[in-house]
Amino acid sequence: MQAYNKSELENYFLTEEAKKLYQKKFLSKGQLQNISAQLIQLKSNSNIFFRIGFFLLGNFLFSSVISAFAVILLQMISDQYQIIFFLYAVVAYIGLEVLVRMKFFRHGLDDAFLLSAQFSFLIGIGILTEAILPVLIAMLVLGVFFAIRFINTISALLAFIGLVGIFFNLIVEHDVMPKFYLSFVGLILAILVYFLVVHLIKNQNFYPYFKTLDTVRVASLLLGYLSMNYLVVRELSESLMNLEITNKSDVPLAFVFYGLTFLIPLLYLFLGIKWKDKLVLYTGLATLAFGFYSIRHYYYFFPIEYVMVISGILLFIFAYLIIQQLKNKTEGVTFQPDSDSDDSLLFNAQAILSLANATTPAPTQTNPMEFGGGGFSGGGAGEKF
Amino acid sequence: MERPHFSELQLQKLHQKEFLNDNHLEEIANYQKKGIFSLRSELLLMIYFSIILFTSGIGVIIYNNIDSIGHLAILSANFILMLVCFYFSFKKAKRYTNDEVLFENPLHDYLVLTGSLLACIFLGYINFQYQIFDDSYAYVSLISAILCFAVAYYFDNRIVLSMAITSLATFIGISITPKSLFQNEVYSNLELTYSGLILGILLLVWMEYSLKHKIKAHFHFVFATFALHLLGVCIIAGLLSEHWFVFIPILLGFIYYFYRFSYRVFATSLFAFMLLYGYFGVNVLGGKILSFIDFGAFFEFLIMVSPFYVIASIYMFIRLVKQFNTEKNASVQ
Repeated sequence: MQAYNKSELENYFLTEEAKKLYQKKFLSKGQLQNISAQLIQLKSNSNIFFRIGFFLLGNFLFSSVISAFAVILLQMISDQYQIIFFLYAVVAYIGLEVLVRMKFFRHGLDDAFLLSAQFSFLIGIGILTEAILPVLIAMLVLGVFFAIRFINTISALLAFIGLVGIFFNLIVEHDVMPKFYLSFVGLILAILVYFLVVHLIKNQNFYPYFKTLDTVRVASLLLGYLSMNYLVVRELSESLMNLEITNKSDVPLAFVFYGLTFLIPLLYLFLGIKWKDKLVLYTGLATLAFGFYSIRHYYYFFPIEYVMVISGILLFIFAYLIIQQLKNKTEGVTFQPDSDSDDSLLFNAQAILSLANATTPAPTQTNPMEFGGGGFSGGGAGEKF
Repeated sequence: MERPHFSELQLQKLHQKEFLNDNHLEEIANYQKKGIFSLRSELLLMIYFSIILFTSGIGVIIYNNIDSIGHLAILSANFILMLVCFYFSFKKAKRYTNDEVLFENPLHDYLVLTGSLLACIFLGYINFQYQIFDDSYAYVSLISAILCFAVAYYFDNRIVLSMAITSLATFIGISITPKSLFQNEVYSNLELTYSGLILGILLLVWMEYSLKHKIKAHFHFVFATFALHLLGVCIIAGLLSEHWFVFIPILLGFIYYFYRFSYRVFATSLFAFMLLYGYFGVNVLGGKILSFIDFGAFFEFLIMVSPFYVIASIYMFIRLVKQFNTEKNASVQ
């Protein structure tokens, strides 16, 4: 089923492990070079910039190939335009298999052809059937197939979206069950997928898929949260069930959703620390931020600038207290740098980040709101004026 | 549920192939037993965001209350807080040297950042209220830039350094935030393009000088990143303008310089973006040249040829990246 040679894959992942060992300073640079020289390598880009660059180039290549095709073919099959996208899918798939034969793996080029093949096929199905459900089913099936055969993370995510979409579509358009259950179905689905993935990860022999499975795990955590989030539930019930929400009435079981909007992120944070799992921890932080946003969306306590100042102070106190707690611990959860952490990298990242945050207006503007013009104001402040 | 840092299976395989000896395995096992879970970067990032939130909020509050009685109170609070920040920063700072100096406690870096942000707010407000530079924000930006440069160099703070460069860019009239880049602000005005070019080159000159004389040499990455993006965007904008032929030598110089520079410091992101801007520029140039040729007859031929062009460029890129990675891995760091 796997498209790649087993021992070559093993070599790839062994080298990745060796790189991790090098970053944590268990291996010297010479030893790492020795390892990667001795293991025959697949062609891959571990650097994300290169991978994205080659992904774009791959897309150029694919589109220039199909436009060259189209110049010849369109004259012949102009009355059966439905099949043209299947043709594109076949071209992309052949290109992908050729790239795999040439030992491209996680390189960017292969990603481009892989996604083009899937999307062309899905568009073809959409044009042919003119319905959403078949597209979603195809998304699930193709996603699983590509994720397993080519060890691809985005395909796995597509499959997950397809799976969720199927249930959503069945309930909303085909009335399989009352729409009110939608959010609970989402939660159950998330839990099932999560535990399936955790079960798969336990098997050490699935190591090539660990990254893919981890991504699906985070996606299912997000799904679990979003299906219980007050904002999402309320907006969906307003648009799907035509519920009128006034001051006196609220969505059914509103208190459950209010509670879970904050309890689930806190649970994620707690589990993230307990399991020492950064992915769960980050999901917890992101969902907590979204939880605050959803409440503020409906309840207007203060103007935004006061919210910014107060939340800034609270966040600072929170982080400061944790740092004080963890400062002197050398084992377990700690503030001490791990052997691979690099403060220099962090500072560079923040320097670039503060550039991204800056909303510096040019002085030619006649807007009276400029304070110093330095790159100081945060992302949110810019749009207010 | 707790997953170890390294998979046991992989370690065993590496051991079998004799890449790891027993000592290694023991060291790793000891390390794994400690179960280290470092939250350092996460907590420092949280501090960073809290400061950004706080200072942006303060800025907005001061602006909104500009004509009310309360504003003086807020402003003096701002000023006092700024003084407090700088007081403690000076107290904790080690003496200035040209090498990298770190605070013992990383939190003090953020104290410096808060002080500088508040100082910028204060300067902007003073100018607005008392019209020192008659409504022109350019000079305020310049003063902020000078202040931030001084703070950045004295306290060895890269975040303040990037603020300083942004202020300097504002002084000459361009905003080099990603948002403005996406909105093509630079493209619309050729004067801005030229001033962007000059600023980019000045930054590079200063970076080369400080690298040579080892004045805070570790700042080079921030300077180079700014200069690369500024120059790249300005060159593309220039190539799209009427005077496009002027920019051909500049493009070539840009590619050559950053090619050499990314090899010198082995910065992958610089190399990648150099390739991106370079390739984009060359293609824009190619398009310009093609537009002089009468299209009609060539059109189909061009489409048939284009896959080969793309394949050739992919081949070239693979070669370039491979060479870069080999050299980078071979370097002893």
